This record gives sequence, structure tokens and C-alpha cells, in this order.
Amino acid sequence: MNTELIGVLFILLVTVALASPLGRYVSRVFKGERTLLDFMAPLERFIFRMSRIDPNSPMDWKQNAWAMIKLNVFFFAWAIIILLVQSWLPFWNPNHIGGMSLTQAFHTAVSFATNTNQQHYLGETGASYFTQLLVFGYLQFVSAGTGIAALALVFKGLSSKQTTDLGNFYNLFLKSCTRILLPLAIILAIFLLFMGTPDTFQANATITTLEGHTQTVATGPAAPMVAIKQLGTNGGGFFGVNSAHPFENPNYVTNIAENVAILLIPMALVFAFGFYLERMKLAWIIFGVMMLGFLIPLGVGLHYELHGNPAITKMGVQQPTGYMEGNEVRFGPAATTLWAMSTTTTSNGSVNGMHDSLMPLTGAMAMLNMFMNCNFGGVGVGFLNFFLFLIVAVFIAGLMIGRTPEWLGKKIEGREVTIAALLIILHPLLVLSGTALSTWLITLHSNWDWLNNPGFHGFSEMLYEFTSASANNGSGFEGLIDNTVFWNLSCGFVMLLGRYLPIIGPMAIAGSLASKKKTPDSAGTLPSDSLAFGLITFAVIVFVAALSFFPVLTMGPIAEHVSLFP
Amino acid sequence: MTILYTLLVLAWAIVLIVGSVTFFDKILKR
Repeated sequence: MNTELIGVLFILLVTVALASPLGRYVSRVFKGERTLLDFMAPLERFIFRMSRIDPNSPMDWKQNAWAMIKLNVFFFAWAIIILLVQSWLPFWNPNHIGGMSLTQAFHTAVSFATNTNQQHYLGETGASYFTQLLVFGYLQFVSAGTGIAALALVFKGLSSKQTTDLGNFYNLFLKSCTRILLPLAIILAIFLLFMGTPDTFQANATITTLEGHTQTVATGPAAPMVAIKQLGTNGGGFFGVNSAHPFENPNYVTNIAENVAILLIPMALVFAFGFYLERMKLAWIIFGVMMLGFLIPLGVGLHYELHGNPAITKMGVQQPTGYMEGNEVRFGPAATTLWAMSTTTTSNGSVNGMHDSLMPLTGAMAMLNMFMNCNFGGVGVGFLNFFLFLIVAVFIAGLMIGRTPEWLGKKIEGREVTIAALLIILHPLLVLSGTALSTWLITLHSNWDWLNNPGFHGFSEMLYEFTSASANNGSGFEGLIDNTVFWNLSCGFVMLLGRYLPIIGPMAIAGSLASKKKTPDSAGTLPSDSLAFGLITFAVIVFVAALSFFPVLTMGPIAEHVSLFP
Repeated sequence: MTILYTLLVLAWAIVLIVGSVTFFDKILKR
């Protein structure tokens, strides 16, 4: 077997092997059981005392939703203020980085508060060390913690017998940060530090190259930020080219570690669901469905990247290692493709190669991952999106066999399905209306030259940008001049709605289900931990994505593919 | 003008997010 493919297989196997024990641990944290990290309790108590929050007070779904909104308003305000005034702060800015413009600061603050990390600035020239650490680094923890805590509330709602109490958001949020994200990030950051990722407050270095030219080499406190950016499915790069930069991702070993880190927590949360509800068979079915949704796009991507580009073959250039243009030369096309699929399926958004350069159908697969946005997905929110599809699948399956839809002993009624269905169509609505608006504007104003590529590829760039924003992914197809008033504001708006409504909705559904009486499984119960139900759920996800997005895919990457392979 | 556009976008997003809590609650109470 091709050694590159062995590398891909190795990364996937290591991730799955680590995800199950981590899931068991996460479940124990959510349940408040004893764990190895109980020594964090005094720190947590101190933070709660300072914040005057009672972490044990019961909260219904609305109180939890308000708590989540209030916290996130604070995160946004903190970020936008610092981004605007970073040049005035007298410390941790040795490279004298200036403040951002208002719309860029708005976009960046929204982007990091919503766990999207779409970047319309370059890390080297757009953010001081203070901003990188105390805005971006901080928000990468707390935005990931927000998603995990929201998921924990839903777990509680699904497992409760009959209550309005979903748990305490503040408590779950803080524990997600201190007991899940922080320890893992410390381990990965130390590993990256030893592998060559810098962690310094010194200014950029000026060196003389072998040709005798002078060159500035950007550096900074990168290691801790790179660690949490991968683990928290954030993706915001310390440097402009993200994980294609040799300081962010120095070698093949770090590439393995970071790729594992991208997939680890989203996979572990599926197992955490099984351990929490003591339904491991159901967790494995969900894991299987998600894995199937991940492996199909990966297979298509690997096929096209490893077989080279016919346009290059036509020029008489051999491509024995596959299609290398835009792929990371140090890692090869297979590792770049695996990363591209991992980062888009998990809503991470970091890149180790240029997605703009992927073969057209590989680019389409990256977009498909973000269209579905529920196969593992972002930490916490990926499973919440899958939960919405499960609700609809239970409803459809129930109708098909003529039984009252019921899941985990709770009756699924029209109101839950209404919320789930509305949220499922929100994502296509945001993506398609944004793409339509930008396409209309660029045809109307030919002097608004934000496209570097005309035709199908240019359309794909705009489609990708809105898809990335709505899926809270953050990666870019690039080739798009995106630091403009239109792109900053429109993507900011899409990110806000694409983040918070799909968190609030599942909380509401969980609150509704928690308040219902739990009925024991009987012969009339739809078996949701069966292969058939898994396939129905998979079909619902695929049909929704295909019906919503196939027309735009034909106008972008599919049209480009056909022009390459006539 | 840019300030106005930014504030409008932010305000509209906040209205929709905050409104969604009430909206979902109304759906559940139907």
C-alpha cells in the first residue's frame, strides 16, 4: 500500500483508539463524578465565587440559553474592543501592529466568539501578541467550552426522567474549559514546543538569506494557540498560512498529532453520549453514520489528489506523487487531503494546504462536509446538529411504520420537529442567500474586484466563504479579496446566526423532552440503535444536503470538474 | 456610514438571536 495512505490510516486509527477513553472521561466530567482532574475544583470554586455564580443551582433551558448568550456577548465585546485599540496597548506588541478597521474588527470578533475563526487578516501583520493570546487564544477556549457545555445540557435533558432542570450552563462551561480543553491543550502545546513551534514574546527576527537578502521571520507565542486551535475545532492560525507554516506545523509527526487533535474531541463526544446515557450500541451506530459521512468524501478526495491533474499531464509533466500544486510539499497530497476533510467535517477550519488548489471535486467534498456539518462537527455543536437530524429521522421513521415517534423513551411531537426542521433549513438559507447576494453584487458592480478567479472557480470561492461562515468552519478557499465592508459584515452576520440558533434550538428541544414522562421501551418502540435506523438518519442527512446544495455545486466545482475531464 | 452599517448588522443579528429564545418557547408552548 502507498505509504501516504498508511499514514492516513494510522491517523484515523489512533484517533478512534483515543476517542473512546476520552469519551468515558468526558461523560464522568458531565455527570460530576470523580475524575483525575478534581484538583481543579478549588480554582473553579474561586472563579464562581468571584463571579457570584452558584454552579449548583438548577436551570431550565431558557435560563441556560440566556446564560450562554450573556457570556458570549461578553466574549464579543472583549474581542472587538481589544482589536480596535491593540495599537494603544503598551505591552506585548513588539512588532507595533496597528488597530483593525471597524468592520474587520467586527468580523474577527464575531469569528472567534462563534468558534469559526474565519480570518480576514494575516496573523503576522494584523494581530499583536496580546491579541493573539488574550483575545484569540482565550476565545478559542471559551467558544469551544460553550459548544461542549451546550451539548452536556442536551445529554442531561435526554437522560432525565421528568424535570425542567437541564443542569447549570456556567458549571458545565467552566468544567469543559478546565477539565477537558485545558489539560489536553497543555499536553499538545508542550509537544509542539519540543517539535519546533515557537513560544516567545520577542519581536520578529531579521535574518540574512544565503543570497544575501534581508528577510523578516515572524515569530511569537504560537505553541499554545496552535494547540487549542486544533483541539477546540477553532482553526484560527497564528500565522497567515495557518498549518502550512513550518512554525505551526513543523514536520510529519506534528502533522499527525495535529490531525488527531482536530478529530479527537468531536469523536470523543459521540462516545461520551453513549457512556452518559449508558447506550453504547446507539453511540456506535451514530459513530458509524458519522464515519461513513466522513469516509466517502475522503475517498473521493484521495482518489483525485493522488491521480494528478490532467491539465498538468497535458503539459507533459509527470505526477508520480499525485497532484502537488497547492498541496503541502512536506506532507504530500494524501496527508493534505486527510487534513482538508478532517478540518471541514469538524468545523475546525485550519489548513495545511491551499483549498483553492484542490482538485475541483475534492473542493466539492470539502464543501459537502460543511453542507452536512454534522459528521463529528465542531466540538459540541457538531453533535447538536446531528441531534436535529436524529429528531427528524425519528419522526420520518415513525411515520413510515405507523408508530408514534419516540426516542430514548421520550415522545417526539410536532413542536420538536418544527424547531429541528427550521434549524436544518437555516444553514442552506444562510449559505445560498449569501452566495446569491454576492454573485448579484459582483455582476452589478464590475469594479468591486474581490474575485481573483473568473468563472466557475470564482463562484466556488464565494460559495465556500459563506458555507465556511455558516458552518462556523473558518477555512477559506482563498483567492477571494475578503477584507471588504461587504464580506466582513455579511460573513459576520451569517456566522452569528449559524452559531447561536443551532445551539439555542437543541437546548429548547432538550428542555421540552426533559419535561416529558419517560416511557420504558416496549415492542412498539422504534429501535434507534439498529443499523436500519442509522441508515435512515444517514439518508436524511444526505438528502437534505443534496437537495439544498446540488444546484450550486453544479455551478461551481462540478462545472469546473467537467471542464477538466471533458 | 460604515459605523452605521456595522451597528445595523449587529443589532439585527442580536434581535434574531434573542428573539429565537422567545420564538422557540412559543413553539414549545403551542
